[in-house]
Amino acid sequence: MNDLIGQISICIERGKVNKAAPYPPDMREQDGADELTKQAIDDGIDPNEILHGCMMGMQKIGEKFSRNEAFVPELLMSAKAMTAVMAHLKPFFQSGNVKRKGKFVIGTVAGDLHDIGKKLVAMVVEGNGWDVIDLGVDVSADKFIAAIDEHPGCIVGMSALLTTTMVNMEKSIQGIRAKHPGTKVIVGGAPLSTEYANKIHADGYAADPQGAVNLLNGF
Amino acid sequence: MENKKPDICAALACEQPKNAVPIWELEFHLWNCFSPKRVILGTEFLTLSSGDQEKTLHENAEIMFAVSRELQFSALTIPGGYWEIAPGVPAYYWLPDEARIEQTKILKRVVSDNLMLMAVTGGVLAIPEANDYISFSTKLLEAPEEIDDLAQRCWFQGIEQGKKFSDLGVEGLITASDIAENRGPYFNPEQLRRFIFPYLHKWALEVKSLGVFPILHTDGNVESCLDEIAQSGISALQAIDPVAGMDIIRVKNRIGDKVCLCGNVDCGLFLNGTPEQIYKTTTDVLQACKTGGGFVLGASNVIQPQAPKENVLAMIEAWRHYGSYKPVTDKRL
Ligand code: B1M
Repeated sequence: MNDLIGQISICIERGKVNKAAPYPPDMREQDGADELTKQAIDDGIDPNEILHGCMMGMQKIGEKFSRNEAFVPELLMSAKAMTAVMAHLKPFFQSGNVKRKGKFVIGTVAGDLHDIGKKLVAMVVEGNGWDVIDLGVDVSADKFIAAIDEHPGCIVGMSALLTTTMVNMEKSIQGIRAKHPGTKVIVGGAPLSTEYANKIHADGYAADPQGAVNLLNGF
Repeated sequence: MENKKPDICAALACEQPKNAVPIWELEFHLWNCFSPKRVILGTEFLTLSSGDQEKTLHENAEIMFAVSRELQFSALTIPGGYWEIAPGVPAYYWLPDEARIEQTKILKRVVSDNLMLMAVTGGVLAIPEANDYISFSTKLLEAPEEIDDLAQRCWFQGIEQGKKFSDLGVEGLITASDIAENRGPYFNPEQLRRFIFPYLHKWALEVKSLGVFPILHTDGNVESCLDEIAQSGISALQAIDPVAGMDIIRVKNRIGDKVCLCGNVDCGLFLNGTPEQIYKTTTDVLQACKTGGGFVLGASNVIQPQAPKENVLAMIEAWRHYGSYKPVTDKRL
């Protein structure tokens, strides 16, 4: 692998955003994801390779998180570094030179305002090469349906943290299936389980962000 | 009427109460299910005229006291200060600051010495609400000195609030500080040592110096830092979150001699479980935790308004069978 790509991957994994960023302390004064991506593009490196480096970094931190070796704030920093890379890649996505794996629409279901888990899933999925549309929290069935109208062919992800709101997943899935029968829906969140996901006819349940990536990549 | 305060005082001091395991809910939303009259709080309270507000505070106090007696509570958490569960969406269980103070005064007169009053007054940082956690998390890593300031301010405000409520006769102060999620602490060990435990310690000492019990509420899995929690000087730990895999027996074995445990019937089970399940879980929790005292029975977190009242009654029924400390043959309370 190209050395620059390797470094970008490390910056993502460690959450090194740019040269000015004081975190992580042992990488102070070094170029971050921002500068290295710019350099890679200037050097004519294929943007697809850059995206691949980004994915590798995000996958590593995602796996560490799954193994309980990384904390939420660290994952959020990795996501911030990834955003710096994505900003440089945006023109290539727009021109079609870089292809993403697909579109993933995600939201926390109606009545539920827990944001963090959903956000982490969105970030890790994006870092793994998907175009992510984050609808935020308290997302009604209608909003999910409107997003599918806008992004045909997308896969939908729903998060719920409350016993009182996980029932809203079922309602949303029914609404989606009525209008877009082929749309795949995956679900996750603390009170959920594979059994519950099966009961409400979701296409998959993931316990954590890496699990969500694995499901998406398997469709 | 039986005075239930001595029992909870004993439990919070990690001793065995004379009569029974005390019952206390961190936040109870079912007042209206157990009363012909209605508790009015939050946004609805704001719509009342000032005369009606005054009347309502008296009625609220009467209802809360009557229901607490019916449900055998030993303590009552007064409604909280304003907090938003989303931008512009206030939580249910709150009153505006002045009304909260007034409600506390009235409650104190009504409950007198029969019940302990508890108040959430804060003191220690937690996982932030809404979208604030993103900039908070960035600062944790990039600008930790800003988090030092935040922690200091949070502690200071907690103490100020705490003093106010202890002057009004509140005897248990709670810092509702979720420091963990299902997998473990939100903060890494270094951050816990810098931003959480020193403040928890200072807060506990200060609260104790007011003659009041300092209580930490935290959700999530805090198994990896139970020793630090026990050493902080708090009187009680509330939640012992079963959703996050916290096993109250293990917690009791590790720190039960230093910290009173409050919980931990899964608040989710109150919503979707049956009375039989609640009865069984409560029985298990009581049998595991009551020996030697230092235990207060309750849900792990808020009992939300959608919970059927039968589930609350099932918890009380289990307590009637297994909650007594009295050495008699028929121990039913
Ligand atoms: C699409 O595919 C996927 C795949 C995987 C997916 C996925 C989607 N979504 C999530 N995942 C998975 O991947 C993520 C990363 O590993 C994981 O996501 P998590 O969200 O689980 O994990 C995050 C990384 C970190 N975890 C969290 O952020 C949740 C942590 C705990 C402590 C929690 C918090 C922080 C909060 N809360 Co609340 N809160 C609790 C939580 C306790 C717990 N044991 O989980 C829980 C969820 N809360 C609860 C409650 C009761 C409440 N909360 C409330 C409010 C809040 C805060 C706003 C204060 C805050 C949220 C802050 C925020 N900015 O999001 C209230 C409800 C507000 C509302 N309408 O939504 C309120 C009702 C309290 C009240 N007094 O009003 C409980 C729910 C009980 C139940 N069974 O219903 C609770 C389990 C606590 C407990 N001890 O019982 C996986 O689940």
